[in-house]
Amino acid sequence: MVVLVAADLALAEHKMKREKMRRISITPRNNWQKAVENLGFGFHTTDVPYWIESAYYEFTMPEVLQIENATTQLWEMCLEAVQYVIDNDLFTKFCIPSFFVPHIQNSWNEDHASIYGRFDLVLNNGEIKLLEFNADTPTSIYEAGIVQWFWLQDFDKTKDQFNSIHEKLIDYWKYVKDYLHDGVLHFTCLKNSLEDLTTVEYMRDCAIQAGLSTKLIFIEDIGWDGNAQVFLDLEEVAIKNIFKLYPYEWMINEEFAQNILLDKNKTFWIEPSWKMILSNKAILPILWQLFPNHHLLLKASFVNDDFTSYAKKPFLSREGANILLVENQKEIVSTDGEYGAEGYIYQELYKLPNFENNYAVIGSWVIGQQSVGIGIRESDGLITNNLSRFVPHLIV
Amino acid sequence: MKKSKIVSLVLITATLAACHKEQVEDWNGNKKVYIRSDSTAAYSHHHGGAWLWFYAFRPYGMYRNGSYSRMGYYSSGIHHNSNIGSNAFKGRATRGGFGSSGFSSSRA
Repeated sequence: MVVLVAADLALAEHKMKREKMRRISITPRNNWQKAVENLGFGFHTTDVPYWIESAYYEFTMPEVLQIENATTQLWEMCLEAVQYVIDNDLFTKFCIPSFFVPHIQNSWNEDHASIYGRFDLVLNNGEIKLLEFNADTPTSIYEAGIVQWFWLQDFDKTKDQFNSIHEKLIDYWKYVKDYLHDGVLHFTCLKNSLEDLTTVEYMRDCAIQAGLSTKLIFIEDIGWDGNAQVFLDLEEVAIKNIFKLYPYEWMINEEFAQNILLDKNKTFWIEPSWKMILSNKAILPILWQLFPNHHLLLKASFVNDDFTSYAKKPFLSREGANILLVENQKEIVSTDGEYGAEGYIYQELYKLPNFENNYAVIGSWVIGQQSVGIGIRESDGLITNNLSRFVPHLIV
Repeated sequence: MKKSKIVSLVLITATLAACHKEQVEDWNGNKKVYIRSDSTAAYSHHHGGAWLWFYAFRPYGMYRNGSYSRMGYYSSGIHHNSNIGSNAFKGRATRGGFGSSGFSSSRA
């Protein structure tokens, strides 16, 4: 009898352990660099390693279902929040310049298609919390959709992965095709970033497989015909649909910004400009206001009224810049950078789980309206930055 | 099911494999090169550096009556005056109005 109870306890303890996300150290594939480069993954190592396969993260199916459900819920909440911001004309809270507001409103009212977004989530002790939403220019979709998938094929084909990113992208491009203007779908990014180009070419690859006619043009090469008032590519073909990996907050401060509104073709920009609302961290206090105490959200505010432990984040920060983490009124870590001019939000502190000094954040992808997969990035500290590492995962 | 069943790529592998040649040895360092993208344009000099293939000159032209007319090349990596010259068609569009705010959109 005693033995049975002990066995039951051991089993229960084992189950509890198995229900937690785990980091497992392994030996990388022989010549893994060649393997990932054969996939077109040229930036696996920069000054520091970016792609790591000396470990992987393990999730249970209940955890995956939990992430999937959380992502779906968060996406629906975000759409409600966009409607709320537009209905209540809260653009000044987001520091969005007034000249661009009509474009945002129009893209929302005409339901311009959004292809993708990445929620950054923390999974800790069975809880999921939203840290932020990368809604405009989320990256690492190629690593998540392709590179980690092929890693799993080599590592253990019998295992599963939360990853239907690739086929969902193709499916969604097929769906979106009917809503675009006739003609070519252009893809654009900065010319000097292999990482950006990889993401854009991957998205274009999926669009080609969906039957769309596509063209790449670097964003510096986009032309403006002042007489016809249209954007042109390098073959003088008018740009009518364009996928951009270039943030709106940069575009609207550049020379061609006003031309977006003058454009006679009313070009479909993907992501659409209404995603500016969601890519701005000002959305976090709005979400908290609309869904107070929601189990997926952390308390967030435009002012630091009663926080003792919090993260202070600029509205438009990238790569973990200009973040301050405070615990019990004491700074525990901060990063510098060039962001913050637009303002900051305050968010209740919620630490990333620590796996032997590897702090992991889950990037959970939405394509169309669906939760489709995850990618894990880990850092040496509590702030995920541009030195973070992409680590594959599997489901046990 | 969570897993992907069929994953195939039609474009990216070859394209990006070609991109992963970050430096052309002879153009590295401080060597100056004189380049232009249009025979009607003036040369301007540039320092070498990490010349990825996608920095290189892109064909420039237009479709007229269903056929393509080549009008030289274009590179945003070189001075405006070395791209346009006296080519009126090339001068029709203003370029470079986007892309000045950052070096990469990644790791957002």
